[in-house]
Amino acid sequence: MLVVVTAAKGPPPPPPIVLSMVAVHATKEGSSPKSYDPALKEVRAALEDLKFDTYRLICTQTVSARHNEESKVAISPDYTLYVKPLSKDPGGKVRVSVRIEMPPKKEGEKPVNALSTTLVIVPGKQFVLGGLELDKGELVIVMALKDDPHNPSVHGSLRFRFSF
Amino acid sequence: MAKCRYTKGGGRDPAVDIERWFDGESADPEPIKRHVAECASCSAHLAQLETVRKGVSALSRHEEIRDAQLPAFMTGIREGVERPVRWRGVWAFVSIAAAALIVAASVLFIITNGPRTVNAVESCSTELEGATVSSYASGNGVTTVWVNLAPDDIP
Repeated sequence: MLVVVTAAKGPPPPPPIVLSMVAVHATKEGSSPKSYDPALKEVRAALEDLKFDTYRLICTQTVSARHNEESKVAISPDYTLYVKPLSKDPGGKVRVSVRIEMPPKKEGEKPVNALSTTLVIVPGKQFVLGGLELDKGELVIVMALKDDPHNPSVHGSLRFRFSF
Repeated sequence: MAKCRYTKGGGRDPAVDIERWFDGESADPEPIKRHVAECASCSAHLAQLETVRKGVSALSRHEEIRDAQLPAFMTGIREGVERPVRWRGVWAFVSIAAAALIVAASVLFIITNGPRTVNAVESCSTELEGATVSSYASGNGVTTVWVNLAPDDIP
């Protein structure tokens, strides 16, 4: 009886994937040396190779995303980030689909995928999405897979520093 | 004890030595036998020899291998030497199995955990008109996916 019940339920769903997300407003303002918002300390190394000289924090969020389900993060009125974990290997690497959506240019049209990418990400290693215009600068998003996906204390926290 | 000509060292003729007679090696035992019955010194010496013989007999049992038994005895030794030792084989098998297990566990660990390298980009695209997307890994292990906008494509 127990076997029948277990078989009917199927395997338990994998735990959600937890990623850190830092949205940055990057501009060229002639700052020398480069200017970094103190709140960007954790992602500064990922920004150093970019062509901008001034970096300000827009928002940070810890994204908890279930497998094959899109999690939505509103970054600005123009950009929304969607994260969908596709698979996870025993070593902790996660295959994830990430896209940044923009509202349609004309009313009645579909939203536009400004950037769509599928990555295999390693815990603790950062990746950067960028190049999209934002308020006389560009949007840069720094993300990383967190090592501990079971820590409930980090789920769903959202902080904004930049107003549009 | 007084020396007698029949006792060891005192005898003029080794053939009549009392110890040879005691060991049954005398060619003419009768004179010695009569002498021992009359001579207190030889009688006492004979008693000592008998005591020693009884003591030695009591100490251990001496196995003898006769000539007829020797081939079977040697065959047994050869079989013992040439017989494969079962436990030696078992321990060799256990050692090899343990080594194989360690290697397998190491390989499994490397495969499952793998070297923690960098993120990999499988695909990237954009729906923005005239824009392209490129990806690259920088020296500090950061993977970047970048949208290169067309000059007039402003959101």
